[in-house]
Amino acid sequence: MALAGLALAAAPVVHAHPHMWIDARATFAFDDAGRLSAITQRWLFDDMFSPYALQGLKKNRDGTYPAATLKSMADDWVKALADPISHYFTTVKVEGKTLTYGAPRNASVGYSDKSKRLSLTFTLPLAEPVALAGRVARVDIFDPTYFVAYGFEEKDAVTLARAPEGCSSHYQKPKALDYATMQQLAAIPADPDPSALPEELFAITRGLTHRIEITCK
Amino acid sequence: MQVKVWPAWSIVLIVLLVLGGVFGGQVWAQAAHPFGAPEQGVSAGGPDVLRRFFGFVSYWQSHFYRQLTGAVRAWQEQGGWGGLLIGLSFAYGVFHALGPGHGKAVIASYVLANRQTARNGAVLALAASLVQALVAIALVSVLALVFNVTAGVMNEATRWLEITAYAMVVVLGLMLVWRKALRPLVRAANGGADHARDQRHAHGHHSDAHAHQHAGDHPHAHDHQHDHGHAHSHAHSHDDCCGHAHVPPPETMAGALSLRRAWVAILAIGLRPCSGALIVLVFALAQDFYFAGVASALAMGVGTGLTVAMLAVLSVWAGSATTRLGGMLSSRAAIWVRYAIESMAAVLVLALGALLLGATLFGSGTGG
Repeated sequence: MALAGLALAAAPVVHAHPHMWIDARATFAFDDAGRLSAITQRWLFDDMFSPYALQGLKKNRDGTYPAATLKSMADDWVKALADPISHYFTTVKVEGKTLTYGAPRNASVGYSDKSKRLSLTFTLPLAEPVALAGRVARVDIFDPTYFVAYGFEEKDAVTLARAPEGCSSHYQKPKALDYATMQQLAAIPADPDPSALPEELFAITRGLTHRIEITCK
Repeated sequence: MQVKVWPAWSIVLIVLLVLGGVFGGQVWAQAAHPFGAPEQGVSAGGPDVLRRFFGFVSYWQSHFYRQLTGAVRAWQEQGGWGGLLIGLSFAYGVFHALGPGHGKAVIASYVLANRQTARNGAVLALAASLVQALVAIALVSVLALVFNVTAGVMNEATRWLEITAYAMVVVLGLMLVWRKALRPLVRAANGGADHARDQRHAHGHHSDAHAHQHAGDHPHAHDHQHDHGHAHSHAHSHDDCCGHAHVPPPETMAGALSLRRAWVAILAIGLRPCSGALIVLVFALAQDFYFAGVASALAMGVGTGLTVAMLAVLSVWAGSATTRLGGMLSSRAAIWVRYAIESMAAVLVLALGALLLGATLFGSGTGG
């Protein structure tokens, strides 16, 4: 009895709740041949994390931050996001196959003195562009450790660029977070390969992620 | 008079406990999060009901946390005494404490292993949580307010505090395992009255004197400067371990909390500041309203402290109820049940410390 109480107190499941919120936007770009070739994302950080990240950095007189400061912040983050464990928190699957990315491009960090919020913008090129005619690309954007909570609530948060005729995107909000699944998400091990997750756990995470589907006729 | 202990049986028990100590859950090392905010690095599975509970806790924790920025601004703009921020921070602290974390495990095990009173457990929990809030406030005050360092430096500092805290959990675990699990066996095996052994193990006797002072129910408490000879004779007449037949009845608890003894436990829990407190402090600093951050961190500490205090009280009750159960069989059974509880709790502290320290030191190649 006493020990059951101890075990309850002790089970050190961490990352059990988000400490960061991101308002995200994603643009899916197609190449000249009409294949899906890159994803550009903009992540707008919440107003509590932004000052934390900016702490101690020198400001310009007008309240902005030097371009070099923001650039190095962008480079650091994108480099950290490339870590296999997070892998940009972005998964693209076509017919069940996970696509790989080339080196990210155009990483930049923006800061609005008005909202006091930072944003990170970067483009992930697909290692091999993929033709979507008659197929579906399923995109999941989420943090498996659940430290970051994503939201695509803004208008036109998901858009297509240079898409061929007949292509469209469909955004599906995550299911309302019920406590149990939320916790199961938190308990998922950070695995270098997200596809190696046990099937039932992966199914749960999918229900909870911001699922974007891109289809072309 | 001696109660015969069966060392082999006890060793089997301890091995089982160590194995069970990781709660059957998988343990994995968590690399630094890409956005670098400081977080703990161990996870374990658990029964579904536990996950559901933690999910519920996690939901409400986030709920209160997200409102903190608005509450800081409201206080700044509208003045007043900051009741909204303080209330939200307190609530955040309560749910933070109900969630998983090493502090609760250490406190619960510590009070069990040391046969603390419910009151001492509660005081210990409150002290540790307040220390934790003060560490966060001191860290941000010195590093951010005075030296204006970057978030990266603060994360690094937090990491070192975390490593120190976990190392202290290991030290605490070792101390408890020696005192509560191994020494009673050693003493029982040696008959407990072997003078030569006692001389060689002067250090052990030193600890005895500590244990005695901790127990505190003796009219003449000893200080640390006593000579070992004294401790030696003393230990013989007032040993509280189960090697002797005249152990105090299970209901007999330790007396007033001795800070001199409890500080390792308090620091093991309090040294690692919680990320939520750090972030709200830096946020308030950026808003030029640092005072609000301090108030919020303290309110979080009180909320956490009161909640962990309740848990400590529960664990004390559970411990003595189990011992009484053993006492219904025989007084020897009571002694054994008590020994089992205390040694298990001690091993649990050690296992947890090793787990956390290992994951923090070796789990991440990049640090932070």
